[in-house]
Formats: sequence, structure tokens, C-alpha cells
Amino acid sequence: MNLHENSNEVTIILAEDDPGHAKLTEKNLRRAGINNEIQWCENGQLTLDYIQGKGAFSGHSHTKSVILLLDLNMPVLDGYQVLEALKSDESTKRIPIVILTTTDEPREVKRCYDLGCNIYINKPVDYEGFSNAIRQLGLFLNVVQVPNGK
Amino acid sequence: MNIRNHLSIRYRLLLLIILTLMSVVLLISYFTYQQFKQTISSQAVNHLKTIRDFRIHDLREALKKIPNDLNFLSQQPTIKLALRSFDPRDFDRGISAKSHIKATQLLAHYLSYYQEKSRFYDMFLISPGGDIFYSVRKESDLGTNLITGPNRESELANVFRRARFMLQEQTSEIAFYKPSGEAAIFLVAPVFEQNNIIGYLALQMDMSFLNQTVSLNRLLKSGEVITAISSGNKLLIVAPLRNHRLAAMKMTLSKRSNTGAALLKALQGEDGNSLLIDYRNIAVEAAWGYIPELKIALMVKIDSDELMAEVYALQRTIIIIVAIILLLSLIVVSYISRSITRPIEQLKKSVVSLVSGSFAGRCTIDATDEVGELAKAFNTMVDNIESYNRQINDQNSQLKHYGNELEKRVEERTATLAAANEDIKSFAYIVSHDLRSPLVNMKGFTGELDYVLRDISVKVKAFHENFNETDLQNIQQLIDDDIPEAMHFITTAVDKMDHMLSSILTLSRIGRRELHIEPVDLQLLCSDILTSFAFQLQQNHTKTVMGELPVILNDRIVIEQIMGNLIGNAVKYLDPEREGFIAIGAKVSDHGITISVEDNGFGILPQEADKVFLIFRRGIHQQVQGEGMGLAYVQTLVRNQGGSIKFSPAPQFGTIFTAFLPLQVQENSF
Repeated sequence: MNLHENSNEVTIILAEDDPGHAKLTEKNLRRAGINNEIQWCENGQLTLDYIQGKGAFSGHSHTKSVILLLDLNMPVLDGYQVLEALKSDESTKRIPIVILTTTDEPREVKRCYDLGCNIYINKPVDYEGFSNAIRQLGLFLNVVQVPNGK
Repeated sequence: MNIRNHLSIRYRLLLLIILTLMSVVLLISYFTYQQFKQTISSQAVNHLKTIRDFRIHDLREALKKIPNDLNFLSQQPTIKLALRSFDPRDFDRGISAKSHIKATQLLAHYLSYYQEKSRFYDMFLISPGGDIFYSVRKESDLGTNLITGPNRESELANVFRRARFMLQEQTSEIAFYKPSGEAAIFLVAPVFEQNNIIGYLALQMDMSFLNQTVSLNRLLKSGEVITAISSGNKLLIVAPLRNHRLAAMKMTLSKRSNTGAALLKALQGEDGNSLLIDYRNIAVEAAWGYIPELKIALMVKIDSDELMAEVYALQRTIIIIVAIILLLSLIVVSYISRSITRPIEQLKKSVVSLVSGSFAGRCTIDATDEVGELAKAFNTMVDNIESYNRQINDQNSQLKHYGNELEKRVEERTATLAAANEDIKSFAYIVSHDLRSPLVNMKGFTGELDYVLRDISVKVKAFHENFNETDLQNIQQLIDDDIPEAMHFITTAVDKMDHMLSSILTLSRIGRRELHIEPVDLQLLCSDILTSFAFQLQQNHTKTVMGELPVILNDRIVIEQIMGNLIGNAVKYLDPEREGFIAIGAKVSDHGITISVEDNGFGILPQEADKVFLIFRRGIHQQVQGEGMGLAYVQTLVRNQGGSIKFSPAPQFGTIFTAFLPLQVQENSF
């Protein structure tokens, strides 16, 4: 089962504190032909709440058929804390996590992979690069297998 | 291996002096001894020679008298009368012969006188035919004929024949004479009357003169006189020997023996003296000579041992004296060498103790000689070394002290540098991440605008050809929504960027700002700040408490910034659901002042703790207005004057911020 065939079944969670970045990411994913639902969470705490069904999203957990696009630098809880929390929890550790951040520090990259991230993508400053990266991510997401919990 | 180097100086000195002394003493005593020995032995030899010469002289003098007596007697009418009375008819009747009786009557008083005066043993009257018809001693030869009788082979017969033949007096050699039973010498003289021989007068010498010759007078204990005649291939001893009383005319010596050879030389007429081995096999000093009248060799000899007894005694004395000298010199030299080496030993001990690291030892030699000076120099040297050592030790400990202080300072600086380094790292991270974020938006939405304009352009071209309602709506949407949206994001991003940059600028400015120190009334300053938040405080029904706040020396603007931010944060993050509480306190110490601001607001979660003082970082309460700059400012300001800031949870809710500011000194006091 993949995203393309089950496009309506997989939700893309976008954890991003900058609304501009979120908008740009969404637009470019759409241009790449991604029609899946995109859930925008503007900080780490909201992201965890959405996935685990707590706080504002009390009662509805989203641990199955989701992909998380995670920014590292966020208020309240940052990307590392979210990554660590998800990967250390049995119910959420199989969620594919794509780190999408402006930092390309090798130390940070290594740390994220150590914590169990699946892909690390750098957000280039120039628009062409950015939209290319996002579109390619979209193409990639089209063929990725996501555990659906069945 | 060189033994000299293994002996201590003292023993070397001792050995040297002893050897020198010993060789000198030994040489002197040896030469003295030799000299003495030579003197003694030459004296002894002279002594022997003198004795020999005296004995020979005496003997010869005695012998000279006898012929005179004989001549005198032979001239006497009484003798002639007696000879004329010889009657050959009854002479063989011995003492009872008429002629004997007649002669005895005639000669009695003469003979007793001459016998005494001339010391002859016997006198004979002999007829011209050799008949002995008269003798004083009347031995067995009386009444016998010297030509035909039993004694015809005797020396008396020989000398009689020579006298008859030569017609003058003759002396016999010494020889054993049987009728007397001892050695004898005979003198025979013809008696003339009117040129006719009427008979012969014979004298037998009294041999006791020989005994006088061999007497012990002046011969010490072992002295001895040997008299010998040649007898065939042997030598016959004539007179008794001191050690051999019965030797006379019985004992013989080989001519080849040591003594014999010397006696043979004497018999050949040679005088001499030498060291010999005598018939007893004992070493003797001997002197020999010859008595031609008797053809006798005479030897005077004394045992070497006795002669040299004095020498041996001297030898012993010398040995004892040398031993005593050596012993005494050993003691004296030992004392002297010790007195020389003792200071050296002491000095050595001091040096050894110095080498082993002790400075306590000093040389206590009380002398003014070279060693004394050396000891003094040594002591000075040790003093110097000790004082240098002390200086070095002092300097070392001082250096150590400096080193420790330096290390401490370096540690402090390192800690400060590490903190600064950490700041720079996070600053770099923030700049690279956070400042890029708005740029992504600006670029992104400019790109979006490009898309939108291309869409518009396409739509406007189509507008001329086939225009429809949907396209119009699309264009309208692009113009109304998409473009303004992109514009909005760009503007927002630029604003945000501008804000961030100015914040960074401010932060770097306050980090470099110079302090203007003046008295600041903390009480007044804090109450002014609280007054400016009067509205918010009233909204939350906040209770404020201020302790005794002092007047401090500091930069007024800096203190306003610090207190404004701390009090402002306390007010902003109060929990609206409970009544507020804010307390401000201060504690003054020798080093500076510690100011605290306590609130009962939301507090700081443990997971936020490490981001509290970072620029642009904000806590969980995003609804509260702020840029994430306040505490970063405060920290920079506090650190700028060498202070520190920290926070801890308040007892129930909220947080206590504590800032320490070191004591400042006013530049100009009025």
C-alpha cells in the first residue's frame, strides 16, 4: 500500500512554527501532485498532542497512516524532543519522520539520525532549491510505504 | 692494582716514614756493625800475631843460652878431669862403675847449680868411643854404648855421631827419647885437651820450656798453642794441647787438613794468619810461625766464636736498639700522621655529610695550617651553598605559590572562555538557523509571486481570445488572495528579520558598552519600575514586597535594564488564575550585591531550563508578548561587569531569579 494508491488514507503532518514556511511547503507539495490531507502544527507540543490525541486533540490519536515532516527549531518543544518522544514510544516509533530544517550542521544531522529519524532534508534559502527539494520530497512520498496499523 | 690508592693517607704516610726510617737505621747499624767487626777481628788477629811472635821469641832466646852453657862446661877442668877418669873396663856396671863414682864426686855441686841455672834435664859424659859412663839422672842409657848399644838409633846417638864427625858441638832435632819416656833435644860437644879429644859432653834439654810456650797466658778461654814437627807424611804434635793433654808426641795431623796445611806452610818458613777449621772441626782465628832451631811449627789459635763474642753481643745490642728505635718511631710517626690526617678525616666526614645532603655538618678544625685554611674555606662554601639553597627553596615555594595562583586564574579564565565559547556557538547556530528562516519566506514568496504573475500573464493572454467566467474568477482570486498573501509573508519576514538584526545589534552593543559608575538608589529605581507596571499589577491583584534595598555604586542604565527585564518578566508571566505575588530583595556582601526577584507565575519547566538565557528563544507561554530577547540582555549585562545570573523554582509556584553584581569602584569621587 502506498501513498499514491491510498492518497486519501495517509495524512501528512507538518510541524513548522513559521507560517510562511508551512505555506510554501504545502504549495510545493501540492504542485508535486500530493493531494493528501496536510495537518499543520505550529510547535512541537501541538505535534505530539495531535499524534497522541492529547490536549487540543484529546480523544483522536493519529498514530497510523501518517507521515511527519518535522522542523527542528520550534518553541515549547523543539524537533529533537518530538523526535525522541515519538521514537521512544512503542505506539509511535514506526511513524516515518522526515526532518525538514534550515540547519545543515553535520552535528545536527548525525544527532537526528541517532535519535531515529528516517530522512533528513535541508531547506535551501533560494526558492528554486526549496521548491525543488519539496517537490522531490513529494515524489518520494508518492512511493513510500507507510505502515497502516492493520 | 695499585695498592697505594687503596690505603688511607694516614697509613701511606706511616708506611713511607717507617720505610725511610728503617732503611736509614738498618744501613747505619749495618755499617757500624761491619766496621766494628772488622776492627774487632783485626785486633784479634794482631793479638794472635803478637802472642805468636812473643812465644817464638821467648823460645829462641831460651834455646840460645844452652849452647853457651855447654861451651862453658866443656872448658871446665873438672869436666875434663872426670872424662879423663873414664875406665873402659867397668863402665858397663852403670852407677857402680869406678869412673861414674869418680865423676859423681867431681861434679856434684856443679851440676846441681847448672841444672837449676840452665834448666837442662840431664847431662851425659861420653867416652870418645861412645860409652855413656856418667849421667845425672842415671836412666837406662847409663852404661850403654851409643854406637853399638840399645840406643844407637836415638837422636842422642845421631847427634853424637855428627859431633864426632864434625869435631864441634851439635844440636839434635826434637824427638821422642825412650830412656826418658818423653820428647827430648840433645846438645853434644867434644871436649879437647891439648888438641886431643878426651870425650864428649851431652846435655838433654828440659822440655818444660815447651810447656811454657804452650801456656795459657793471654789466650782467653779458648786460646791454644799447637807445636808440630814434620813426621813422614804427617805432622806430629810436640807439646801437650789445651784440649788434649796427652797429645804430646802422640797425636798426628794430616798435612792436607785445614790446620795441617797452615802448619806445613809454617814449617816451610812462612809466617801467616787466617781463619781456619781446626782439628776439632771448629772455626778458629789462627796465626802461625816457624822456629828454625827446632824445626817446629807454632800456631796460636782462638775460637772465632769467642773472638767474635763481642761482635755478636754488639749485633744483639744493635738489633735490640733498632727494634726499640723502630717501635718508638712507629709510635711517634703514628701520632704525627694521625695529627696530620685527623683534620683531613674530619674534613672528609664533613664533605661526605654534605654530599649526603646534610648542611648541619661544619668542620671544627682548630688549626692555622693548610688543612685549617681548607676547613675554613670548606665551611664558607657550605654556608654559601646553604644560603643559596635556602634562596632557591624560597624562590621555589614562591614560584609554586605564583604557579598555583596562575593556575587558579587560568581555570577561572578558562571557565569564562568556555562560557563565552558556548555563547558564540549558540549565537552562530541561532544566526544560521533563525535568520535563515525569514529569508526562506522572502525567497519562497517572491517565487510564489513569480508563479502568480506567470499565471496572470497566461490568463491575460487568453483573456483576449477566449474569455470565460472561470478565468475571470481565477484572475480575481490571484489578484485578491494569492498576491496579497505572498506580499504579506514577505513583509512579515522582512519585518521579523529587521527586528532580529536590531536585537542582535543591541545585544552586541550592550556587551561592549562602557560602564558609568555612580551611586544608584535601588529602592527608588525598583519602585519606579513597579509604578510603570501599575495597570497589569492591579489586573492580577498582585501583592508586591520590597526588602531593604541599598544605594549601590553602578551604571544606572544597566541596573534599569536588568531590574526592568526581571520585574517585567515576573509581571508578564503571572498566572491570571491566581493572585499575583512579586518580591524584590538584596543581600550585600564584601564582594558585591546579590539581587533577587521572586514571582508566583507559570514558572519554568525543566525541559525549558537550558534555553532560558538564549536569544530569540521563548518559553511555552507563546501567548505572552515577547521577542525572546529580555533574559539574553540581562545575562549579557550581568556578565559584562563580571557578575552572574541564575534561577531556581520558587517554593510553591513561579521562579526566583538571582543576579550577583560584583562591587564597583567609583572613578571620580566628588
